[in-house]
Amino acid sequence: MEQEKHPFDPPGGMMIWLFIWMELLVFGAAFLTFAYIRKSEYSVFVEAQKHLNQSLGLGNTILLLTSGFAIAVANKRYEDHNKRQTLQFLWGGIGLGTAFLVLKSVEYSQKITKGLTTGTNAFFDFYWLLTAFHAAHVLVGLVLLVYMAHKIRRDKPFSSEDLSFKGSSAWWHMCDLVWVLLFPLLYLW
Amino acid sequence: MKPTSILTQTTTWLALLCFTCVSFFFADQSPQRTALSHPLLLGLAGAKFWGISYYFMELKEAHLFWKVLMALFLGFVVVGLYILR
Repeated sequence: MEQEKHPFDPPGGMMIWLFIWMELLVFGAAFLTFAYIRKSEYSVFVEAQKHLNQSLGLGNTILLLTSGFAIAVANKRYEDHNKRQTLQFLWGGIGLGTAFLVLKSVEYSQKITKGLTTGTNAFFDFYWLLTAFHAAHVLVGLVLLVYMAHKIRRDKPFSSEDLSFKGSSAWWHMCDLVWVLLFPLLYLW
Repeated sequence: MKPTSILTQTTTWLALLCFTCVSFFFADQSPQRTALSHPLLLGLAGAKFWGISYYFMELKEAHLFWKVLMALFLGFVVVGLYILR
């Protein structure tokens, strides 16, 4: 179904952006709380941060940014009515997003093996809360994108006016936005 | 407003990867944080945030209201993190 787009509406439509803003505000508040607690427990945070694998964090960042790029290009191809390339880039983005979650699982298993779980200290409480909450958003984004890939594959005639793909993509990019702040804060700060 | 081209998006993606690597190597090379560390890491993160929202999320083509709102959010978080560093 095609939605009517108002000039004031953000890309993807108003509804998805209400959710995006809610999530951004929640993450923003969590980041500031992290920084505030870090200041009062500085030595604990600095010591705990040494247990994080920065290379895995870098790998995750590259995967998520490249996935976001693939989804952005898929949107352009969608606007050009190029169904084949839309699906190619869309599945590429989904694959990279899945790889992000696999790499995150590897990191989680390393932390669990070392006993670095919630309750270890305030840093790891934040680490698990923030990264798991973010991973849940990535998972929701992947479900939306897989649904869109099936929808686009089946749609006849191919409609590039449908806002739902742009909305799903906006959600995916929101995961990118959160991660580009989360990565330096947790791994490099 | 002219729509974002794929060339612009590709350039943005390469810049994002470049900024990420600079952040990583800077933090790796200076484990003892200097006065420059936090502003640099925050500046690069802020630039990446803006690049993604402007060129990938197509905020560039959105109403000015959304651009201002996003800039205010980014400014609030980045300045807040800098103050609380």
